[in-house]
Amino acid sequence: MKYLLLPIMLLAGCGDYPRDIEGTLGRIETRGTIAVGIIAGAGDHADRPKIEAYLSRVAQATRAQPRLIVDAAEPLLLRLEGGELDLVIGEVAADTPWKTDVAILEPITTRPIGDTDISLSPIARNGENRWIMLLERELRDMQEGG
Amino acid sequence: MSEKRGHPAEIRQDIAAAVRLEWWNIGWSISIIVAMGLAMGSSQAMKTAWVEDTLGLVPPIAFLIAVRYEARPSNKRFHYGFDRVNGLGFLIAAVALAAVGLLLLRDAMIALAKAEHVTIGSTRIFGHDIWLGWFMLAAQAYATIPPLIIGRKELPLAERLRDKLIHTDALMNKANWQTGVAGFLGVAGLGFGLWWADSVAAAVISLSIIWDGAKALRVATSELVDGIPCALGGSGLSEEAEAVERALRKRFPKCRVLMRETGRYIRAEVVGATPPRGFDPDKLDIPGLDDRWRLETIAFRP
Repeated sequence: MKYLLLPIMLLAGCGDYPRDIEGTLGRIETRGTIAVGIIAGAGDHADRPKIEAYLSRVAQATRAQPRLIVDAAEPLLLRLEGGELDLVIGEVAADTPWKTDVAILEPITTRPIGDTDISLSPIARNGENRWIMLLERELRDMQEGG
Repeated sequence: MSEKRGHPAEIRQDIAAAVRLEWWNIGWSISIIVAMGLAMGSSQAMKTAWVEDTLGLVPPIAFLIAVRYEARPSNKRFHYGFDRVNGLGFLIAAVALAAVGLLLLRDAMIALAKAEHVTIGSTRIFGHDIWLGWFMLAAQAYATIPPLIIGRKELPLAERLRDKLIHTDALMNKANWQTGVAGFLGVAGLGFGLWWADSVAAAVISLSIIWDGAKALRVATSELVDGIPCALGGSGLSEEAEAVERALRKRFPKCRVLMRETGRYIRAEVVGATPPRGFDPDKLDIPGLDDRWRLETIAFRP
């Protein structure tokens, strides 16, 4: 087992681990833009400043500019799944059928609707683990006021 | 009729050692199930490994139940005693082993067909963002160690006790540590961006587990329908049964010799003869049968 652990530890030390399966973060850094889908309604949300602050942090961390597209949830999530978009931000219910098809991250904010909460969350393509780690880190820093 | 009370004196020490080992096995397995359960997150490969670790509890529990029954004397309802409870436990363990292999293969195939890209996020601990894959790798690495050690300790005991249930448990432990390595490679491969790594590793390993499970199932069902006494880990006549057959044919040359296996014991029947006056099966010279306790009875059918 130590022979298996060693190369992984070395790679982790080089800061290149984990990698994205489809290379989203590398593509963003090369291209200089982040293709972001905003689910219609989320842009008019009272928490819009939070979305902007979050995107600004992500832009700074990647040195890339967000390019925003506003549309309904289904087309945006389909485009995210297909790799046309790098990130979608919008409100999703905890039991959304999309939860296994895309990676819904920790919420930027939540609000109650009836007996349940609906979360305004960043959503990434499944398996883009390096990109997802960056999105999670920036969100936590923002929530902690860092 | 088996009227003995308890196990033969020659194997009591090994039985006690096997019971202790199987309690350790259960204890370690539970610790692995807890560790894997805490680390598995949304990884399907980890969930599969967790289900397999849970199924790994079946053989040691079956052994501990069987060994208690086996020691009981015959009674009004069970005239032949409980030797075959071990065989029943063997069948249950064989089914569990085959199920583990099939489950692993099914999940690997589904993951490959769907080209599933597994997401493993991060958590913040003391201000540091740590990839959850590290916890999964640690849990998988831990999950390989106890089954590797226990499985190796079980093999000599299974040999001495002629216990196919413990032997199947050793195979189950082999399946568990191999699955642990496959899961480890899977999570590590995912970290390298190789989405197919764990499914391919799991599929390859599942084939050897299915093979072992099918072989065990074949022998277990054979035993339940009075098949010949089989060698441990095989489906051919055991060397000890061959020795018994040779000795009985030599003593009763014109008769047929039938044999079957009840748990760890061989029962022989001589067809076409009555027992000679003063015949003592324990004093019959059987070259090649070093452990006489293996031969439970010699019956005669004129």
